[in-house]
Amino acid sequence: MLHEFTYGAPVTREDLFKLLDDHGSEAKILAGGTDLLVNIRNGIMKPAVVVDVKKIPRYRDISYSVQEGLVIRPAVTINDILRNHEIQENYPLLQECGHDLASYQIRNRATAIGNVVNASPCSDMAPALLCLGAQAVIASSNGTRTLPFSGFFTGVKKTVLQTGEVLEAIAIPASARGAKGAYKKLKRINGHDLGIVGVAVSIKDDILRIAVSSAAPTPVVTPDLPADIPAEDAVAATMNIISPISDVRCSKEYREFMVGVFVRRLLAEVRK
Amino acid sequence: MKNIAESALNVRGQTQYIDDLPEPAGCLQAAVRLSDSAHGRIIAIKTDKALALDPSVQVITGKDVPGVNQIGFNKPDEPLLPEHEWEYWGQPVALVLAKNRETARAAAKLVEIEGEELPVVTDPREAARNSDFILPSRTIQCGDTEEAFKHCAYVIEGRVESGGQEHVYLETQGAMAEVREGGKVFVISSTQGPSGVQRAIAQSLGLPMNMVEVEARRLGGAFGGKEDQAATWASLAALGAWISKKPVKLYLNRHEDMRATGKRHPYSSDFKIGAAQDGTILAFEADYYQNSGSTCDLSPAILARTVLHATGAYKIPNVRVTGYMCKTNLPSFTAFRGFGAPQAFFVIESAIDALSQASGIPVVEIQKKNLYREGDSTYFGMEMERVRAHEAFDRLLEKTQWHSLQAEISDFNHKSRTVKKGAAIIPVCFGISFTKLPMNQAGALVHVYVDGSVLVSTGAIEMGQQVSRKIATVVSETLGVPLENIRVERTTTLTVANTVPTAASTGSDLNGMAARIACLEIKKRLAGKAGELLGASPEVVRFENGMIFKNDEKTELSWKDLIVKANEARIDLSAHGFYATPDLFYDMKAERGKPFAYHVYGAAAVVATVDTMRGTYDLESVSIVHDIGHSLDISVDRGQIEGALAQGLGWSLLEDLRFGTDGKPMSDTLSTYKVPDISFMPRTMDIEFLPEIENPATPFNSKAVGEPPLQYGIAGYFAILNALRAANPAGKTFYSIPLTPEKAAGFLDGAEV
Amino acid sequence: MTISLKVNGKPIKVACNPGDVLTDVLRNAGFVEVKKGCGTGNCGICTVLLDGVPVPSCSLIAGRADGHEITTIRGVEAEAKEFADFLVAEGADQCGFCSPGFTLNVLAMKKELKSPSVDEIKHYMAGNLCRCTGYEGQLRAVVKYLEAQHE
Repeated sequence: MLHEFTYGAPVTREDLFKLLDDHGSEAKILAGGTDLLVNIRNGIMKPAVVVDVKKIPRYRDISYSVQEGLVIRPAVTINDILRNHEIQENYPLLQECGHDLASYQIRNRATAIGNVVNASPCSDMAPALLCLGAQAVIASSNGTRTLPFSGFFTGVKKTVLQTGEVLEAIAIPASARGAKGAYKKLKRINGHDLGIVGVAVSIKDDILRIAVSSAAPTPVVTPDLPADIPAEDAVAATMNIISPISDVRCSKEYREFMVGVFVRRLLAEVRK
Repeated sequence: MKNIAESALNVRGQTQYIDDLPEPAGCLQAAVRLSDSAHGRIIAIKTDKALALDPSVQVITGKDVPGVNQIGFNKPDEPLLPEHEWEYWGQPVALVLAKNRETARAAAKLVEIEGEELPVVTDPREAARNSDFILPSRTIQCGDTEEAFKHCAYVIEGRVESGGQEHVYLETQGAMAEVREGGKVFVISSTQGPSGVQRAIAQSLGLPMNMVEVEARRLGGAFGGKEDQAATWASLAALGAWISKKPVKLYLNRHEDMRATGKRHPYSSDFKIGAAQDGTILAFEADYYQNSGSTCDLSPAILARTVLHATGAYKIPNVRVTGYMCKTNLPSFTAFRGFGAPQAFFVIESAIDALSQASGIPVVEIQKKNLYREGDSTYFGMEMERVRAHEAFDRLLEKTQWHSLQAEISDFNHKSRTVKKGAAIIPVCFGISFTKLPMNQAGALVHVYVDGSVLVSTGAIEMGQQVSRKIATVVSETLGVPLENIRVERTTTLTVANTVPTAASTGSDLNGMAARIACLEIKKRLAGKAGELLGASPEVVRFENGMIFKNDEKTELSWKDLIVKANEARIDLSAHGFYATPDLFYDMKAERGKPFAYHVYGAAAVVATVDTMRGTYDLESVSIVHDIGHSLDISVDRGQIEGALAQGLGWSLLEDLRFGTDGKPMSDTLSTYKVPDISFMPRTMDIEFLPEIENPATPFNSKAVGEPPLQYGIAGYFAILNALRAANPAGKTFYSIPLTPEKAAGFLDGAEV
Repeated sequence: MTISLKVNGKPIKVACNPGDVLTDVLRNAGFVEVKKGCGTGNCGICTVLLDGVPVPSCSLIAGRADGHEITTIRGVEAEAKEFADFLVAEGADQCGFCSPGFTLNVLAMKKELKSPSVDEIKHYMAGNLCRCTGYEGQLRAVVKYLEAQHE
């Protein structure tokens, strides 16, 4: 047993919002559960109510259209993303990032939304979302608001989500469709490991973006850069947004060094 | 084959490990309160809050130990539960019992340790400066190194670091205990050494050993981690059962296990090597600062293996090596496959690498020139017999086409800018026998039942090395009875007493020999009866595949019939066999003797590539030539070599055991401490066995296989180092295990790529 | 709370706390063939099939599993036995603690991937730690087992 809590599994949005409103900050949302359980086990979170969103039918959907772009909902697992042909064709960077997340079994449970809501500095999905200019669609009983992911993370394990709110969708704009992109994640082993650093680069419509995980309190992204920016300027722009620390996985210096290496490599790769 | 079917039980989930066993009625669950700093004086242990949690909660502390609160046998420095002082972060300070595990864990958290913090030492060299040693140092000397260095063309000194290593046996430590009728204590323990556990329990409960029965079933891995250190958890479970009068189970979770238990010893060492112009090594000195952790545990035996493997696979005429057991405020470091030898091998190979760098003579040339030869005497006076160092080394050079491989690599490195390649070889010569001489003994009990089936009990613990299968093979071949008639039972202190732990790679050697001796005794009795039945003298009677042969001719008499007739004739169908490795001796004062029954030889070559920007690397291939003697089971021995190699590579490259300077464990989960996974392993692996050879100390000329191949992983370190040098010839060489990508990137810093 | 599960084809009802993880729920209900390795999703030891899909049972709270089908290694006896012979022949069945989880993931991979390459196998199996075999024997066993399926 992890910790005493009650378990709620609403099957409609309305029930979900009611549960969240009734329990306020005592409620925590369970998406894939792979991070939440670790947080509860380590005593980082002690929710009174755990609200499972996987049983709301619409929440399992991935929808895509040429006009609207891609929408990923809370119960969509990483393996769902990896198996989706439309994502493969139009937003391959998402799959590249998902491919490196934890292990196969975990990817069967872990969700993209859980991965970003948890707001770990080493989120694997965040770099892709930041590069692709994804929007966070946040809902509550008061309605829906939308903001870009570049404004979603506010600190280590912190986001803009207020009590009673749920990240209901990740919306990736049609304009990002076909973006060239690549992701590199440095790990201690090739298999299941948290990133030492993760860097994603994307180019679309003469705009270059570089997003980094595990090198700042939150995943971060550069401002829009010209696609033909010299590599060293791109590195400098990336260095401006990171502020790594030393931990058991590696030192601050190695993280800084590797971010530079990855930016140069990824640029060469996407410019091919 | 029956044994295959039995092994398959694991895969089918039918094997019962400690936590899978049905619990006796009323069984309580135990948890431990671990210290949360590295060193302190206990003022009071407050239990009110814990007791208030639930009526089922009981808290037991050192004061409640009815016997001697001490389970250290090499040195009495290990209280079962400390009464005055805690000495590392994660030390069990109180035992908590409750109706279920969650409650016990929650209550354990509520036990308050009121104490005064004391200074913390984690660095073995700092402990040495303070002269804080577990036991006096140990020096082995041969010839005159000082004089020899004067005549050397090259004299190089250096420093070598090697880190600790967490066992990560997948089944964590645990035990279940109950007090049975008449006050007899019965314990099932996940241990490599039931007799040691029995002794610790008897001592801490103040009982004679005949009131304590310890049983060990199949272990979910051990690797040395359950040799001495299982005694803590079994003794705590027994203490809980003794005090509560109820059955008690204690089973650690991963986090507790990683915090509370010992690991491979980190070492910090200095070397000085001297060689002639042609690369002949003339003199070698080393000082090993073993980080022993907080208690003695097995540290002296481990240090013994270090100082007895100081020159690796090489004959060196002038040697002076000294080992220090440095006491620190870390978990007591303990046995781990290799047992002090890998640390020594890394030092001598580092010294040879440094010599090569200084002299320009290729490492492989220095290695080959100095390998042990038949009749050589070691620096501790052991005459080497049936030496196969050259045989293995030469075969490996041939097999890998070493010289053309070197040319290919240099060509590759010339053309490739971002990826560089390197290769390295390590020869291994590993002594087999417990370094603590009295431990080289084993007993076995063999019963033949009237239906002809055979039951064997020994001290050999099954923990994945398939020792049961090997012993069954020995019994089958000795009695001439098919394998399916033989069952090897789990170890209990009832059937075989005073067993030594299944360790030092000797499990099948010692227990196989003891079983064979028991079988020979039974066979001798049966041959008499068979001779009588067949009208022949016992000498011409032979047993094979369940049938009795006379003068090499198969008779009508089967094993089963013979057993029935022997039983009717009131012939004893049981025997106890006892084996003590012959001809071992060691004079601790002179530091001379024959501490090993024999040596295992082999050599491995690793080829690796390095990403010259990142410092990350890939293991391209491993080639091994290994001496397994006459294998009792080729697939098992191959599995042992592959598994040992993985652990050796993990230790050399990846596994990064970290503690803060305050002694706080930093790598105490499987997300912070990484072990090799399936993608870490070399892309190709080629293992070849040397031809069979006579080996009188073991059953059917087999050879121990558990530990020697672990050393092969060290070649991974040097292969990567060589690739790094190709990228940055000006890089500053360091000898520090594990060679993480981060350290590699440090070497590359400033490289022109 | 009480949850309903179908374990190895047999419906059962278990009383548990919402905070219990599936590994413990199953073990308490007698399915001790589900082993526990780390409790943090890092080792793959506790793998079970949830509606046919391999998941680490330590990362699933009890309520989540309500109404679902669980397969443990005992639910696939025949296939497990067949695969076991390959593991044993390659010296890759050692302490056996990782074998149930490993085997379930292999069986799931067999269903999901057609003729996977060695790299695909490694990627699929990267979440299953083994401390005994060094993976080489496991890999040989998987490759030979998959080959045998095509024959």
